[in-house]
Amino acid sequence: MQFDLMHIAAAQGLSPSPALLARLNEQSAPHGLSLSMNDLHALAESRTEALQNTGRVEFGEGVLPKLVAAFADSPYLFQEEYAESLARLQEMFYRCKSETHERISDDALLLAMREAFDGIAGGSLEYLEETVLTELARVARGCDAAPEADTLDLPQEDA
Amino acid sequence: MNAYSDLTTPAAQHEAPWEALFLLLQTVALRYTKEESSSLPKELAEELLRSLCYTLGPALSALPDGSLLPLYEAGVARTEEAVRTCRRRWQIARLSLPKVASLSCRETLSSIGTFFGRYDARFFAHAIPCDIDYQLCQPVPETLLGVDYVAEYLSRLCIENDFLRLFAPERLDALLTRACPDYRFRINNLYAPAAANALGLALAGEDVRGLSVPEAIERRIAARLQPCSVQQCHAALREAADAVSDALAIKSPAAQNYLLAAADALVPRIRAALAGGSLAEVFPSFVPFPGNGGHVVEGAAHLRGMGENDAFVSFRGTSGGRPLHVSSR
Repeated sequence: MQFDLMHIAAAQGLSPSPALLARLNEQSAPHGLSLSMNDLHALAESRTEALQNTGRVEFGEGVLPKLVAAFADSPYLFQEEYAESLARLQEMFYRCKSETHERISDDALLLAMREAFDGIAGGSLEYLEETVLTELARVARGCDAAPEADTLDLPQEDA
Repeated sequence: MNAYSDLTTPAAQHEAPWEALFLLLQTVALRYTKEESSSLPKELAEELLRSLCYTLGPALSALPDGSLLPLYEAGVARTEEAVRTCRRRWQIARLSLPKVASLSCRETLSSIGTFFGRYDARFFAHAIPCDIDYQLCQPVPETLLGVDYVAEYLSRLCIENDFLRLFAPERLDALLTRACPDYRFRINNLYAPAAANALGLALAGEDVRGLSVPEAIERRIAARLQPCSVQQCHAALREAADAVSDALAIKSPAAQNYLLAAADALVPRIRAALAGGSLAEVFPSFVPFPGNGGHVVEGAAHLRGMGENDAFVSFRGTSGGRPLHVSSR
């Protein structure tokens, strides 16, 4: 039997509760977006899965509250796919954290994601993931950016 | 100390106060990321946990109720003090180098010098960020981690170097060259051959400072040890170790115990060699600088000119302490 840090972290992490749901919906409700308790459970599960897939351990309740705060007022999010979009953004966030080799902070990454999502990606999660975040990861790792990266208007991380 | 390994035992799965430990890990992880990231790669989180377990040390088996942060902070302070002590030990080790030393030993000491700038007592206290290549006669147990490992390595190295400095450099060099012709460029331990021959000479009642064990003495040792059981062999070698300590005025109990351990480690080699019929490879003999009366030659050669087919060289220095001047023309 092995000491499984990820298992313990998952057990100690985001626990779906009415209080958390109320807190998240309080931020998104003014923009016509809300989650159900089932959505929150599904998001907690997809968070665990995303962390396992990216080989990460998270402390505390996770990035979901920050993600909701960052994206709640995006004009490209709609109630019908709100929960699903949050799940995909959450997965993208963890993947990008790993691919940038920890060289970009949570807040800077969320800002970059939000700006690109509303900007050059025009609300397309596919474009955001395949183009913008891939390029961001390359730049953060110190690789030369692809020539088209100039058009992406990626934010600069403070040294 | 390898507290992290202890955590992986089935018993610990039920007993360890995971919650308090995890909360401490969370605090340490947030400090590590400067609160800029809520998640970390699993490998990095595990390293932080290993460091934390190392820092808590023996306290890990009986953790108090409540926050572990004060215990952790006290552990970090203790580790930082251990680093300061280790640095002083490193300076002593540098000064203890014998005249006859290997490149690998020097490089290891230089690398340990970089340890103090790289070591991170707060987040990676269990790590050993330097290259320790030179092999000791009695290796440091792998269960020791971080600064504990380095400090123990340096203590043992000082014991070895102090021992080696008790012998005439030219005799030591001749013995080590006999044991391994390019010993200066290898990671081979230098203490073991010297200790072995000193023990051999003590077994035969000879002067241990001579270091060389001629064939006749080697036969006497073989005759003495041949009828011995393993236990008797250990006893004879331990007795010889005491005799070596007396002859060389080794007073430190740590150095005496180190020699006793080297004597014990020699027993299996001796038994195997006796079965093969000769102890010559366990207790080698040597003739220091044949043709020169065994005198060490020191000095410098100078190229004085080049002919069509040869070079004209002169040497100016000393042989056995006497001036020596030789020229090829």
